[in-house]
Amino acid sequence: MNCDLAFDCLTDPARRDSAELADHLARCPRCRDMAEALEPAIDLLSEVSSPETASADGASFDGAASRGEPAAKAPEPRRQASPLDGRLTAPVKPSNEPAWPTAPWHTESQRRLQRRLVTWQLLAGIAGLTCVLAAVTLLRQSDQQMLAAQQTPEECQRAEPTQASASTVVAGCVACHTLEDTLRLIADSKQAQVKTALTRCVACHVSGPSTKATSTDTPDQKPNGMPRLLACEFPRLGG
Amino acid sequence: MPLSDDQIMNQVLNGQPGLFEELVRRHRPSLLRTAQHTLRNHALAEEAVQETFLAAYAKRGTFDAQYPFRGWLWTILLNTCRTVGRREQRRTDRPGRDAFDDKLLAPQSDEDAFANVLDAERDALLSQHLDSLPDVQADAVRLRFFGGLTFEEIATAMDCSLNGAKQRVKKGLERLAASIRHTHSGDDVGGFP
Repeated sequence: MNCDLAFDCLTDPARRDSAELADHLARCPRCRDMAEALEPAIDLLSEVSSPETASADGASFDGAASRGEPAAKAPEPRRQASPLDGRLTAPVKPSNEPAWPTAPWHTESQRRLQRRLVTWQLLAGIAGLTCVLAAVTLLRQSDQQMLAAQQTPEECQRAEPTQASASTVVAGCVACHTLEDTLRLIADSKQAQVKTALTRCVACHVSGPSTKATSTDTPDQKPNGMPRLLACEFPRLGG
Repeated sequence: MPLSDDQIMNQVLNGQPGLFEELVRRHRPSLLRTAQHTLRNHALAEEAVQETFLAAYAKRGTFDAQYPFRGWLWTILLNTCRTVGRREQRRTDRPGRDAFDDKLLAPQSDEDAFANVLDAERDALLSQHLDSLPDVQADAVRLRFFGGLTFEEIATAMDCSLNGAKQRVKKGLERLAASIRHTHSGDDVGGFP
């Protein structure tokens, strides 16, 4: 008998007093120490767990039969009224307990797995909802940016009223927004838009009739006769 | 030669449900013993055992023949005991009745009454000690001593390795022994003169 089997025997009330175990304990100080250390617990458990002390229906557990081995002393077959009679064939009542995680045939690891799955599903749901909300917010922001981009050339610094002449302002617009370096900073999709907007600036403020329209205020005219641009009309005119 | 549990279960699955009664007859006493020591109440233990068998029968289709039947059945019992215990605690919001007072209810004679009192005290003491252990260790000890399960079956029931099952039983016994010794030493100090 090795130490592993000795522990098996020691914790089996039926084999605890076997000669083999006694022989092993006599030779193995480690197991002897362990047996002494565990003795109070095993004594109490053996007393309580012995079939004679069980308050059950008196039928002792036949582990050998359970494993299909012939029993040392086969118990008389008897038919006793079981509280389960009639219930086993009846449909099982639906339990009030939720199916998860209390399914009793699940092992602890299966329960843990189910709990994790449900947790992950919840988290995934929350993450999905967050993504949808974020996407909606981004789309709205993007729409606003698109609207703004349609109203004023991107990166335009001339949003505020200025006392400079129209041609000077437009020259500034052209200088900024047609520079290769500046254009490189603007997204490709927006570059054509900026160029179109600039063309309109030039058309209105430099060579077009609207030069006069922006210079209706006579006192704002410069001494050299060039009209002053109070603010770019482009946003106000709706692009 | 009697059929093994697994053989009976296979026949139950193959259309002989009446054989399940043999499984009930074999395992009911040990299940009831364990349930009593877990729940400390005979009526609740009966309820837990009945629910265990009902669940086992109702869900017999989930039984995997490559694992031992007893491990599967005891898994159901342990989970059912927890469910019944929680349900009872919610219902009463207090601990169950005094441990094993069922034993004291109807003594047949004076000797019976005395024996019942001793049994009840011993059972209560053991339950008290087992309750102080971590759940996995207490369950492993119950499965080993009240259920008579092998370590392989305990490993299946508790979903752990064979070595893990042995360690749980061993650690549980060590703690239990220490707790009993501690109690006894306390009795010696404060005992009768």
